[in-house]
Amino acid sequence: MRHHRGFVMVFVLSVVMLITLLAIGAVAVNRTRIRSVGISNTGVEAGLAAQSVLEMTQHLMRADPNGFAWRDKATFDVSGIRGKDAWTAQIVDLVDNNLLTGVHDNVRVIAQATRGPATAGFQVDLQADPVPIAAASHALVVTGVRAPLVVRSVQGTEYNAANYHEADVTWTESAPFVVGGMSGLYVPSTEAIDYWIAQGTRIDIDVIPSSRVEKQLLSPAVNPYGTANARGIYVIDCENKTLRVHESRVYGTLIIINPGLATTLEANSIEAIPGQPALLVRGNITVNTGDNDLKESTINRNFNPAGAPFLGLTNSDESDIYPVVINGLVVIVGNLSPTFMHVQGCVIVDGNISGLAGYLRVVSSPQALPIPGFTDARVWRVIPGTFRQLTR
Amino acid sequence: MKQCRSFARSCAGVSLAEAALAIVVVAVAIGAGLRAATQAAAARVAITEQTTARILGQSLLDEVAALQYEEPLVATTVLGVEAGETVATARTTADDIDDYNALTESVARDRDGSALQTGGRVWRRRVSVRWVRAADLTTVSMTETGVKLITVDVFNNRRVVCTLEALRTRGWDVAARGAEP
Repeated sequence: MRHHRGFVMVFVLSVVMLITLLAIGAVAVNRTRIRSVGISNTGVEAGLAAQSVLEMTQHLMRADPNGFAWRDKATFDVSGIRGKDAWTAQIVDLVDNNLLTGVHDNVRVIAQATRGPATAGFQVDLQADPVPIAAASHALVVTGVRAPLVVRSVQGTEYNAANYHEADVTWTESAPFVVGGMSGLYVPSTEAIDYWIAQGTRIDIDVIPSSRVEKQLLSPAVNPYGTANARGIYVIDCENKTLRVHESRVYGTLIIINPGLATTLEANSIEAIPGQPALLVRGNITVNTGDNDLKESTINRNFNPAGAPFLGLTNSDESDIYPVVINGLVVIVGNLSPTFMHVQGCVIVDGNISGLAGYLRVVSSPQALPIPGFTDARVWRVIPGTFRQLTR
Repeated sequence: MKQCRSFARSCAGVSLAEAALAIVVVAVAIGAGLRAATQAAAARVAITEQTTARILGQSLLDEVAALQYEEPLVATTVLGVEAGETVATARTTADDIDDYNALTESVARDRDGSALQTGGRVWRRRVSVRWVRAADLTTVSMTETGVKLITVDVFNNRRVVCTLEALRTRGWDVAARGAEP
């Protein structure tokens, strides 16, 4: 009897345990399947969100092709504009890993989205496809009112300021001189100037003797007033003092801000390095390039040492002769008074041109463009074959 | 002898109680097992439903998102099909995202109009395409913003089983397709 009772108990408990285990197993399996389907669905949603991040990144980059708003952060945090998901887009410079230099470097966009437990990501490489600003197809763009000024084309045709103001003469290949009543065509953005200022090396106006840059060379290797800038970009903050730059050569970019009354550029040779502007001015300035060449032998200086080639050559002698031309993009946010000004490139004046007897010759040279900060919205293209799904 | 009889009675009582308890325990265990089995069946149905809905939703969303952002050479002022296009059954004439706006299927169909085999269930899908503001993607705009939000709802009979969303932008078309801005 005892033996039988024990058998029943063991049997019953075994059956109960078996059924319980089966039930627990079934419940666990169901939970796992339901959870896995949920995770799978969430993964799909996260993948769609990650694709949306890529889309939004393109939208934002297109809205700010020069990256004034995103280069210093290297990311787009777009979570706030969607709410429930965590969206991020990281931007990596593929050339030198520095987004703040070379704004036309190829970049990689890494887009990620997290929804619940699922994270999905994509990456794609983009190449800059910069298109020069519309103003670059003109030699001279003036947004303000021009005072009476004699302007002569390279073919010798003279335009009366009053006439071209009304006529909106447009530049063509056959007549490489342009004057247009182009108010509204282009206004240099504050960010564009700020970008180049940030790239440059500042020269304290008080370091310059008598605030006069006289017979000096500024280049990627030479800065007589301090540390050389590797790209030859120099920023002179005049602090409202009068600056004179005379019989000097700039191989790179000269930026002048806060110029005092009668700040003048005279008899200089300014040559932009490709991809950079030649001259940026924030304020009013008088330019008189003059008509006489700049001769090393006359000023007893060598202006084309290593790092500052002229016509592709460097040397240590004093026998070279430089045309007194500003070669490259000139942007003046202020008024320009050209008494005798010769530019090979493009001049944009966000202000007025004034001067009663000035002479301004601009030969359009769009091949030096586009220049960062002066490109329009069609900038980035997907590099074929670089679209990748990210796993972790 | 008395002790022995008393013990036997006691033993018999315990056996009856044990048997009764065993029956209850087994009954409870079987009930739980049945419940688990029922849940498993329900879960299988739900899983199948969710999976099917997701596949149907994703396929339609992919179909929409693969199209270009906007009708070429035509300024879009109203989201929907242009002249000569239809998405009523076959959607082969649809050539941009917003052609799918307000699409509501009576039965799920593929792009060429063939009804999809969905195991006897009646699946329907609905698409909405809206402009949204880039600075706040939850805000709908009545005018072009460069950003379109695509929403696909998948119905089993009249019940929404799955909703999927994705953004498309003009910027991506420009970057990836070379579309003119």
